[in-house]
Amino acid sequence: MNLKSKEAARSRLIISILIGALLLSAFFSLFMGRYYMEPGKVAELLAGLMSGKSQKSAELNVVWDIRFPRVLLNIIVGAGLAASGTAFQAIFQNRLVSPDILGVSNGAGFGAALALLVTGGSAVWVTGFAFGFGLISVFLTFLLAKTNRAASPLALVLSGIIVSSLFGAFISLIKLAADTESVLPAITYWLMGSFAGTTFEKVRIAAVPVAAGLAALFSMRWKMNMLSMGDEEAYTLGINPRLNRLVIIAASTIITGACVAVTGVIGWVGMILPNICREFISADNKTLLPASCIAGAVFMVLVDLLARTVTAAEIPIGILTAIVGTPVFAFVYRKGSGDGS
Amino acid sequence: MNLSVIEGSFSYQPDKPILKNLNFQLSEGQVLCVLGQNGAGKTTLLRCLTGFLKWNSGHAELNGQRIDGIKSLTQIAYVPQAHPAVFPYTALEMVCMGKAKSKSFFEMPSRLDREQAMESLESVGMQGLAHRKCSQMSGGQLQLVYLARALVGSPELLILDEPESHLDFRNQALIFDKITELVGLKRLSCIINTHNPEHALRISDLSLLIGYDGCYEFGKTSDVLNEENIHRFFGVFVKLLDLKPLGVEQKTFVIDRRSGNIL
Repeated sequence: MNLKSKEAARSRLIISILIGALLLSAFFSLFMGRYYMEPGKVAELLAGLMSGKSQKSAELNVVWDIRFPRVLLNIIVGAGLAASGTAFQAIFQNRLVSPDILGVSNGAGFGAALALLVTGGSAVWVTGFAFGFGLISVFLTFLLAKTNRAASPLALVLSGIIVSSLFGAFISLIKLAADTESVLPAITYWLMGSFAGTTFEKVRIAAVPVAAGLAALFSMRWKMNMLSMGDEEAYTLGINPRLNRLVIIAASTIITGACVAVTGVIGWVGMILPNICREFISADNKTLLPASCIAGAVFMVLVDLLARTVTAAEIPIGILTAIVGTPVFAFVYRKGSGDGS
Repeated sequence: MNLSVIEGSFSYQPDKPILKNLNFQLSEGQVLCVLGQNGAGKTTLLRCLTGFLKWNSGHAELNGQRIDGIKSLTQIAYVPQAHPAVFPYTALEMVCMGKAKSKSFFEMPSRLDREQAMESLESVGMQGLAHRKCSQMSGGQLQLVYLARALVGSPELLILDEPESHLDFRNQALIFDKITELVGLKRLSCIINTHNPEHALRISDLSLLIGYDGCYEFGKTSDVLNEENIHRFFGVFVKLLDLKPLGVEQKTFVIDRRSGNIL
């Protein structure tokens, strides 16, 4: 029993470290950037804000209206994508699955492109269309998987790939029709993903669905262990595989859809972070899900910090997650046991 | 504990019956071995018993009560083949999964559950590897972990799908000795799929031979596991040898090659 409590203490320690890293990186993000501020100044501004005795100033504007919502959105999106990636990997019994395996990203991309083409780029329409089409594409994936009797995990993944490429083709079609001076670049940038221009409004839009989805995933996280053993074993262990899979897919899709709708397509986080955490913390989803959530948030805050500080023009974050993610993954995998166990 | 299958039938395609009007029963402390060639329907039978597949007609009864599956029955537990796990759960985490049946929808394993999981690992002699990742275990160790996972729910009946598969000679003997020991210790009943008639001879009280097209033979192992039935269901000529003259209280089958043709 002693050993077990030691193990639990170790997970608690790692999670505390991750939370510390999150707070630190979030605070760091508030004063780093094109407009550099002394850390002390940021703390002062925040303290002033808390006590309600702050005056309007350019600095306050940068910290409170630009950087603060952006960091919040980093955290929400990072945690959301990592959580739905963890859940999807468990229920599809595959470590290479990412949150958009059922087509949500390409569906959302199509929705956004359509809105950019038709409405000329109103933020509300783009977000709404992206979220809506993200959900629709996963629904289509379900319908397609159902045509082959039972919607088995394999049938779902295959259908997801097909629906993804279908919406990919639709995106290309819209690009073809789009005005090359204004709409085409807008679509292209949207698809690369970005946190630029984050407002509290966007944070609010993303926070509600992500929080609801996370609550569902958190409360069901232990069941993901049983589901990850395959349908037959899950059933004999007392879990209804179809029902539980459906609920988890719905929750994950809402999370991913909301994240993609506000930031555009951001890959890698949802696939890599769960694997790294599984390697170093625990494979047990009871611990893994919270751990990869926080790790995803830290990763997103740091990569977004890079995105807006490394060069004069901001680099789309979808590009950076892959560029930073690959060496991080290689390094971590080499350090780990290396056999994927 | 008393399990019976009454007129159980199942087929994947209407014209090709796998199981046809199957009848058998099993009482407390008895071991039943299910034998047959690859593809005869051994695994299908287990899936019908667990409820993962639904009988086309007929049903199973536990203590006289009709059952549709074991999903919410703590009295019956299932032990899969020693397949490698995709995710590197530790043995203890794996065994904790065996408590899921007695949990409500959102409930997670408690400290008590983990203690019981530890005891279950002890009962199969695996307490030393409780924190070892299942992906770093041998097939034999993994099979013992799956056994412990089934035992943690204190079942009265175990259903085992070819527990010897993927195991080497020594581990096969080890796992069957462990099962026999537990059956004696806890008055467990077992239904075991195996493709090796010798294992059935050694450990089972009852045998169920399944052939193609839904034919079957059920009875006491000493009655039904004979040379004719092995030829009928496995398609090979064998001799049943009594090893008593060698000082071993055991019988065994050897393939008869004297006619130059074993089939």
